Amino acid sequence: MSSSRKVLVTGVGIISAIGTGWTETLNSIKEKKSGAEKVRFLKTVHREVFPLAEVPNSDDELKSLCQIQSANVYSRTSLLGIAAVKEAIISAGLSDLDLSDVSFISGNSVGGMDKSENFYPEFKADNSKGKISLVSVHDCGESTESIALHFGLSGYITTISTACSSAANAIMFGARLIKAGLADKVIAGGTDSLTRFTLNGFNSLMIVDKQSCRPFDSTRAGLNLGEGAGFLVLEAEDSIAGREDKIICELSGYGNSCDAFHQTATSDTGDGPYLAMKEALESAGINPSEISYINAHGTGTGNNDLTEGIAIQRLFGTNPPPFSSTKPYTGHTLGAAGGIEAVLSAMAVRNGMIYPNLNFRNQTEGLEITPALEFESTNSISHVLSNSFGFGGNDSSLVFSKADRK
Amino acid sequence: MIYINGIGNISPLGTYGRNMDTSAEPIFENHFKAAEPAYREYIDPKLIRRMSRVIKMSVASSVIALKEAMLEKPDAIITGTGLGCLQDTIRFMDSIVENQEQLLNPASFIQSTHNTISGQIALMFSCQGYNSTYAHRNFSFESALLDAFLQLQENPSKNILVGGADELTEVSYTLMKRLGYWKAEQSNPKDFLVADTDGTLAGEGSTYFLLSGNKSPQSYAKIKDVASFFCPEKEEVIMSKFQNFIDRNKVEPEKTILISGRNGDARFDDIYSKVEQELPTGRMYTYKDKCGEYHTSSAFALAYAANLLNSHNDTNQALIFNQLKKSNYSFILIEKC
Repeated sequence: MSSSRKVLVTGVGIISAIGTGWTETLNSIKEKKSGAEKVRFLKTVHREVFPLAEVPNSDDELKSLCQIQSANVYSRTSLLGIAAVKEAIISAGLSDLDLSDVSFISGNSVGGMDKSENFYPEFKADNSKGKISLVSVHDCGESTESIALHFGLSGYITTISTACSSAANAIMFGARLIKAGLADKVIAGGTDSLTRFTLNGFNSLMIVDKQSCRPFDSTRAGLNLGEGAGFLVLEAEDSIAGREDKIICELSGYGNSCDAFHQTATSDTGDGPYLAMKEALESAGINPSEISYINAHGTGTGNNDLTEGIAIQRLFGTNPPPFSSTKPYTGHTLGAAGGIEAVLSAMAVRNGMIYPNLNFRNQTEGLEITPALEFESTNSISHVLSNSFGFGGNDSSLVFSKADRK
Repeated sequence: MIYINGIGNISPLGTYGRNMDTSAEPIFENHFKAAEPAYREYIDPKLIRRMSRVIKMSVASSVIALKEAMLEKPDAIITGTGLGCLQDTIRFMDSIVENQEQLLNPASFIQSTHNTISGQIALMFSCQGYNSTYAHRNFSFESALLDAFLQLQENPSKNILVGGADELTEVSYTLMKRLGYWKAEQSNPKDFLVADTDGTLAGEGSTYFLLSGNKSPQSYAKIKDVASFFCPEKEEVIMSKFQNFIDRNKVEPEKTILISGRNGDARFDDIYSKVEQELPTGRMYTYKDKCGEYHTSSAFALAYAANLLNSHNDTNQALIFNQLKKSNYSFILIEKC
């Protein structure tokens, strides 16, 4: 990164199956509580078959939580996003300020599909039927605007949709806006809600596990679909005056690469993941040996975990830093994954933590490396790498570093 | 400086690289319809079979743009698309209903994600560089453009493929009709911009640009600035942002062509009159009477502007102005090389 304008993380907001807010989330992690269970709200024929990491609040409960009184249609994607952004704003100490200059970059994969897919069957039978307002929230940009309007954010507003790397790319773009001097404060991350569309989509590819997922384990059978939202407050160092106590860490590097091998599978040599991680480290100006912990993409699918493992070995050697996937906790939250995991990674730097990779028992043939199995509190965390590798070969990595690094 | 070194444009006006025929009759059948080329000229026939319309349009227009710029492959690919791969999204939704969520074929799900467009282009050129997709209504193309702009400022020797693509399907047309987007069925594509009735006419298309910090013999124009503003219900704010935009870019009305995103929707078009008054250029063109209304129509507008600019001797800049429902505003400024 040629610009010397430092990008600092001053706030985090998170909601997922394992907690509303950071405190609940951390408690669940320490208690090794997996978030994937029998689903309560999503209507699907698969409800008894696949455990899903659903946020345990109905849409109405989320509306209450977010103090939304309007009778307008809100997609669940918007509601989850509002809940997370609310926490992020408070944690950055921005709640009493005018936020009109704050920019908002959000990632999601299927926007308000949770509503439009409920409209569709009636419409399909008779195209004059169905509650049309459910379609008005379908597109990816709608939830971004809904969230921005709720908080009065009207700096640079846009939406990124690159499947599982959406939120990571949103965070990257937010940082670049700050470095280019086009923004001082950016709220960036992602949100996605459970839908029959994505559940059936991944199931048609036969990569959904009937048990809690087992990233990097040789018997792994696929992912657990999840939902949620994770957002960071990114700020230029010179715009934090008076709120220095809110500084969590620095977003010190990022990388984006396209695997360009196949629409749904990563190349055998893990090219895209390797290049994304390498670029992220180079942009942070650090060597692989300086990374303290890797929060892996680790979905629990055969292809991802093997190729991500190979890419890690290529870059870090066969004795890499501790690495783990937190998806047995949160599920794979698609467009929100990069944001939720950015929150986990940023807080790992701040508090000095390594998260465990649940459900790992059997070494995968073809990999010489093994994930971290226990939660660790340690004061030797300097730099954390967070990976988000998506369908279509969109691979992105972020580096978070201690704020006071030289 | 950011140069447009290649353009590939598949639109209701026709399929173009250079020498866009701006006076051609757009294809119109109740809505503006993209005049698609014989795709086998641009894409291996074996691959065409599995591609949806929007993918074919995007891949082909990328091939045209790259060919114009005389390059084998780009260093980065950035796409803007408001609604993504609609045809495949609807196909998969149909199959979910028809088969009650059982034993579904993954093909349409795989192609339904918004980033499939950028992904397929990357596969076409074996490009492992930066790859992203913006999906935010009428900001989609502008965000892709800004992303490329920032990258080229830092690294001028890169060649970046940037585009905007949206397809119209029967289902999406019907849904947007029910949401009150379109004019009455009998509307005339020739006078809908001044009809003083609610609604507009639907369109579609794909336009890709090869941008670089390096000037080439093929360069059409320089991109000077791109800005998008989220300003719901705040007309005074947008007028002041517009003033700011023309001031900081030292835009001279007498030397500027204004390209207006007027779409004939009487509920919102008055804002264009206000902007036109702020910048009395005397040279005002509309573009949605050539491509119709869709989220990434500003990509078409940019291709149109690049062609128009070079056909006028007494101007040196073109300013594209577009808005959606008096909430989302965007400006793109280009200059002669």
